[in-house]
Amino acid sequence: MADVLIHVNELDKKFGSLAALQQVSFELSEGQMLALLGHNGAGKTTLMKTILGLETADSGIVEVFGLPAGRANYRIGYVPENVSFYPALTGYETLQYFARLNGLSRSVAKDTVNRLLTRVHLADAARRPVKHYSKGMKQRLGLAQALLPSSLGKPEVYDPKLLILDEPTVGLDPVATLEFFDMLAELKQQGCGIVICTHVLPGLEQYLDRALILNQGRVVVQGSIAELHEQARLPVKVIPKGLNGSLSQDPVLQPYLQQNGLLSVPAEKALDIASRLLSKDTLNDLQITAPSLPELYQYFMQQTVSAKKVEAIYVH
Amino acid sequence: MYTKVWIVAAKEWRDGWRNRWVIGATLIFAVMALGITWFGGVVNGQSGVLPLAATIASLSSLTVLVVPLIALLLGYDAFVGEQEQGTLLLLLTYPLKKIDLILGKFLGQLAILFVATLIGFGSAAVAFSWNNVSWSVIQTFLVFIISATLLGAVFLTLAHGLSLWVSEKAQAAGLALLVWFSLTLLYDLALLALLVGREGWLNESMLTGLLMFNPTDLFRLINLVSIDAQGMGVLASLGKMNISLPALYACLMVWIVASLALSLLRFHRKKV
Repeated sequence: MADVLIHVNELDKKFGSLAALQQVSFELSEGQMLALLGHNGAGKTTLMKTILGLETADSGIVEVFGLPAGRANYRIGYVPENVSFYPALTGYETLQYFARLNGLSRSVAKDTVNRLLTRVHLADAARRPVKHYSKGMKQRLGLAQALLPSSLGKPEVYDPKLLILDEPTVGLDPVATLEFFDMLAELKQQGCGIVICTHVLPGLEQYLDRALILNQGRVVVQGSIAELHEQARLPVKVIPKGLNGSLSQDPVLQPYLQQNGLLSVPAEKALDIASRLLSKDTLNDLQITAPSLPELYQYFMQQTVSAKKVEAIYVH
Repeated sequence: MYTKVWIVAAKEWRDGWRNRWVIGATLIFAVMALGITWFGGVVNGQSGVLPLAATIASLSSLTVLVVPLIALLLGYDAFVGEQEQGTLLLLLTYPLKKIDLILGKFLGQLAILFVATLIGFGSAAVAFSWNNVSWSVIQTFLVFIISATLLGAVFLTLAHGLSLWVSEKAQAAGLALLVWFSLTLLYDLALLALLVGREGWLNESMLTGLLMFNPTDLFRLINLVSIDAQGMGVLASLGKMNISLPALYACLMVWIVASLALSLLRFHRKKV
């Protein structure tokens, strides 16, 4: 059974009268990637900071590697939002600085930094000042920094087993974003747990194991992507090709027909509809698409807003 | 702990010298110090190098304006700059104590300041003693360089305190200029106004006490006590005050330690 890396239970955190986190609970095991989703100010960064021990919980439990938050940071790699590093230092010097702070000796740090720069495809730019790096290069430098091992002054070194990434793909072009996620997938396969906070949702679900949606400090929903689909039960999109006009004449299909020959079908009826379409002679292609992560996100956020409206009406 | 302090200090040293303005400021500083040494007598209608005491007095006037300014410019963004670029938050997740970061930044930037002072006043010392090398001249310039570095150290710690107090670099820059203006110009003007406007109201011990509250005055006093201050007017009377040199150095050290301690307190309470 995979080890639990993060255990958060009924976490509360307030800033003055503002409740930043309310009764937040979740777990993350090794080899899993969890997305923290929510609007700006939902509490995602506060949650990340609490896991890192940079904020203290008012109540509840926050354990990382079975220890209180902040006590096992040597096993965690962190990339803050919009980190731009030291403009005058080179990529190599930047990583060398952080490696030395992590307790690595000069020689070990040198080898490690060269290895990581190659891994994030920055070896050619290693001797260039960071001020000349593109946004994507800075993000990759940030990832390399997060992957630096730690030694705590002991001979053995500890590779990070947990990555916490706050908006790591902001400003990246689509290709760089895909490359970045491919690197994360590779790390995940090696057993690294990843918590990622991002607003870039399209395409993210293929890399995720779990998602947690926050709104105003509360967990709206959490679970695997399949569990979110199960809970939302949003209609699936069925796109048949070659049935020109005959869809509107079919009394079974007609109620689901949308614009451009697309059918929006409740999940539980998708198989029946697909079978019916497959029985048609002129059909030459059939695509069935599950709701995307942005659609799920939108659905759950709308549910929260509706619930709040009902609550407000009820209270008043 | 010491290793971490030196790692941070080494990074600050490297980072600092990559800034062209630091090199530029050091060179301008050296040119000004050389100018004062060679042409200091021109304002009195004299030519050539002035006597040692007069040269040191003139260099002191340059130092109290320039060294604090360089120190403040070097240190004002030490923490708030890192906060804005996201690295302060990152550093706090590393096995690095806040005191290590404060001391490391202080020592790294102080080393830059020391080298800038050494180049500036070292070149002035070489120019002064070109045909007339003596131990007393070397000693006087050494005291001058050390006291100037200590003066810079005070302003560096003040800059770091400001940098931890605010959340935007622009605020820190504004406050740094305010501190510079207040301690290098306003404070002494206010003191002079008190002395002249309320004659007899301030006795010598009160004046001494008030001077201790301004590091630039402490610096002036250290150098006036160190040299023969005769013929230096008002400055000479200050130099003859009944204060020992170690006491004056101790006062500068109190400024440094107190500012560092306040910075540490502030850092512990700071939301990053």
